[in-house]
Amino acid sequence: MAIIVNLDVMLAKRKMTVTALSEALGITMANVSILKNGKAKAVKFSTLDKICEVLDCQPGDILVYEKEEE
Amino acid sequence: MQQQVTWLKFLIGIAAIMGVVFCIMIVPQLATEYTEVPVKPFLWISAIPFFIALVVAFQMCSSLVQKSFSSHIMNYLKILRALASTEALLYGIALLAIFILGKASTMLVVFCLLFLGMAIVLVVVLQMLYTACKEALQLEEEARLTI
Repeated sequence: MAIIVNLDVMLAKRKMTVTALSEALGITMANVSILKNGKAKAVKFSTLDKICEVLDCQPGDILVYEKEEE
Repeated sequence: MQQQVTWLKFLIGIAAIMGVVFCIMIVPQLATEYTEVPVKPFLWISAIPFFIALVVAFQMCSSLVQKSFSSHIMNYLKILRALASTEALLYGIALLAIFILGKASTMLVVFCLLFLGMAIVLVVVLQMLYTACKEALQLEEEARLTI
């Protein structure tokens, strides 16, 4: 997919673990892993809102669009 | 769900008993009435896909308890569709053979048309079910992967 999830980069910047993030967001580790590994098909605004709040960042810091090569 | 599955399994059992009774009691009688065409071997051969379909349907019911939409269910639907197609093909060929051989008595034609019609309806319903199940599986996956 052309949308890249940079959650791992933000986690590293904030020196936060996946476990801590999942606890802060109130979602399961499995779901955070799906999001982090770019396997998610969609992200709810409420989840994005929580992620931005916890990591103190903008949606653009987490989601990046990269044009796919044909 | 368990109750529904038990009920379905019971219905499959009834269908199997009816099939056995048909093959053992009705088919020999039909064979004595229509001696000019091989009724007995044909009906016994056409019963094979029917009984296989019952076994597959029984296994599908067991899978339904675990998960309603899964790749297993899709595979079972595909097998059932293939079996119903085989049945339709068999009766289509039989109908054609009856006309070619010039043994087209009303009863035989009605009999073949009835089974052919039922098989075609089954193929259509199973195809629709397969498409719906595929769609549901995709929706379920999307819902699961929406965080």
